[in-house]
Amino acid sequence: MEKLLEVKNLEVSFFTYGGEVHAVRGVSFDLNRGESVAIVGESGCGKSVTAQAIMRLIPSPPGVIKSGSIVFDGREITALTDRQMEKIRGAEMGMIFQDPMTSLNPTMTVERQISEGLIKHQGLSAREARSRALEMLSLAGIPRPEERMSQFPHQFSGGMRQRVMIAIALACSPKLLIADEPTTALDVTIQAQIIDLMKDLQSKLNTSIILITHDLGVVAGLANRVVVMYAGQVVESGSAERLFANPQHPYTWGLLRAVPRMDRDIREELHNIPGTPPDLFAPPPGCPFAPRCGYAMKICHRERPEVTSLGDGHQVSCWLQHPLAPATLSPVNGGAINGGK
Amino acid sequence: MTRYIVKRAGYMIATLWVIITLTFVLMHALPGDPFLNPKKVPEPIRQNMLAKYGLDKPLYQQYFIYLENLSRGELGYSLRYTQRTVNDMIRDGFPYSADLGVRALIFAITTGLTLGIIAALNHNRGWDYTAMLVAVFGVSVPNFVVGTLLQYLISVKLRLLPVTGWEGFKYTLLPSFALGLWTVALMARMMRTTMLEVLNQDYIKTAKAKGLSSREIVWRHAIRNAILPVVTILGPLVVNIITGTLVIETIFAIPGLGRYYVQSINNLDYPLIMGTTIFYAALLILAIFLVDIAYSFIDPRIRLVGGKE
Repeated sequence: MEKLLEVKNLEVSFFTYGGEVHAVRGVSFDLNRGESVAIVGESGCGKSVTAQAIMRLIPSPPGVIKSGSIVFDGREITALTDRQMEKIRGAEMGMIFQDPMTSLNPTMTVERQISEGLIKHQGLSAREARSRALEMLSLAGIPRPEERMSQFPHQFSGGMRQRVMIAIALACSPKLLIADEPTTALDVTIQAQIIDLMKDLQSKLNTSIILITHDLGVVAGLANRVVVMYAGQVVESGSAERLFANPQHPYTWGLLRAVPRMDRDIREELHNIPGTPPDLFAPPPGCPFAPRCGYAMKICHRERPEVTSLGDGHQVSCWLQHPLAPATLSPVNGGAINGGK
Repeated sequence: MTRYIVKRAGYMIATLWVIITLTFVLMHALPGDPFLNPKKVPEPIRQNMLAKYGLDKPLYQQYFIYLENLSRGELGYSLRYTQRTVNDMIRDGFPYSADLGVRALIFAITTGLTLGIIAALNHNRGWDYTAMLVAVFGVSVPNFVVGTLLQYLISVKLRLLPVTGWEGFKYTLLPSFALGLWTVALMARMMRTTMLEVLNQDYIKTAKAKGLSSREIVWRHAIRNAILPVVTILGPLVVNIITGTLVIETIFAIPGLGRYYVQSINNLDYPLIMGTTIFYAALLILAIFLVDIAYSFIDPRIRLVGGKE
């Protein structure tokens, strides 16, 4: 499959009064055309910053892309001028955000908010943009789109607004859709509808999706591949099937065990990951997860683990993969890791 | 909408009535009467004068007579400028005041909003500090000081513009500037605050993600939302500028309504006090009403309140 996006060793920092926050520290992953990848991790792990870096939407100052490369459709994003970037944003990459209640302009009709990008990027006339906006709204599953078009955002519910956001983001048929926690602010039944809608539109428009979330249920529903981030680094990545069936990193285990399960005894306490993420003003020299990891060894605190490839695109950064590490059983499915030694 | 306007009109008339009554009572609570003040008028003549103007009647009767005349739009004769009706005086003086006020307002709104927007777009940089310096100066220095300083520096020292009078465009510059400066400052500060707030909103991020340029984002998405709170204070500001003309008209010797307003109180010129007060009050009430209407056009969320939902 052809690569659409290639992120290599991306480093993003924010320079604040308190010092430099190393928000993203050497993230690499890629995305093929028509594929969807989920970036998962807890709040503050750098997943949103990674997405914003791809769109070049990091507020600057204080944010800076320090190093690394982002190649999108053959172009190096980090080297483009602002003007060149404007031509890509909206036209070739669309983005939807977490909170649909505040992401739409309250003083502009929905129609104008959708057609704005069309008029700018595709040079459509107002009339053409209008019919395309209408088409997008019905694609996004909004009933009575003719009537709804001329309404303002406050006349829509949260779920409907997120549909409008999707219509805006996909209006110009971008190659890439970045969805930054698109379902977090919605209630559960609406979440499922939005995920179904994104899946449906992905197959219709052949858009690649980067889904940012901390909800593994959402990941399972939509993503082909998963990138697990922790403290600004990728700790594990691989196809969704492999990652769910055979997770290798203790942090991934923790995330998977923290998902509430319908088939478990309701009196059983939910599993959690003790401790808090490291201070990104001064990230630890070793594995960032070591202080919270139940399997941490001495080396984990001292040195960053290498990336180990387990085949089929499954990669993990963990010292447990080292040949000298003690044999460990995954607490998620009981399978042995590092080759079963 | 029509229902809303009718309802509002009712409130407006009620407000005006309260103001009329209060002014009437307060005015008559002042010691003395119009013919007691300047030179000694012999007592019998004074009594005759009071009788002629109906001031010998009980106060409540005077009040109802006044209301009756007012309902016909008659504000009565001035007791001081005996040949002129208050209606005439307002008709003659107000155009000057309004002219000055409108000029000052246009200057204040355009300059104030521009300064505020520039400041917000250059947050914590040179332009921001410059604009806010102007704003702090404008808020802290009273307009009569600005007025006299301008007269001294620009007219007397540099001889660029006339000192006083109202005979052409050149004459309007200094008074409009002096009158509008305070409002410029207020507008700039408010616009800066609301603009900064709006620029941090999620929908601005959405607009950026659409690939709009900074200029398109500012013009289409930011200004309209940022201007809403500023429009709210526009009503009181209009009035502030109108009442501000009292001082400025005196300093720049402009034949407006302002000076009558001040003099009438010193002279206890009852009809003139009532007439000018009611006139200004009505203007204020109208200005606030118009701002509310304007608000509903700028902010679609307001429109619903008066409607079916």
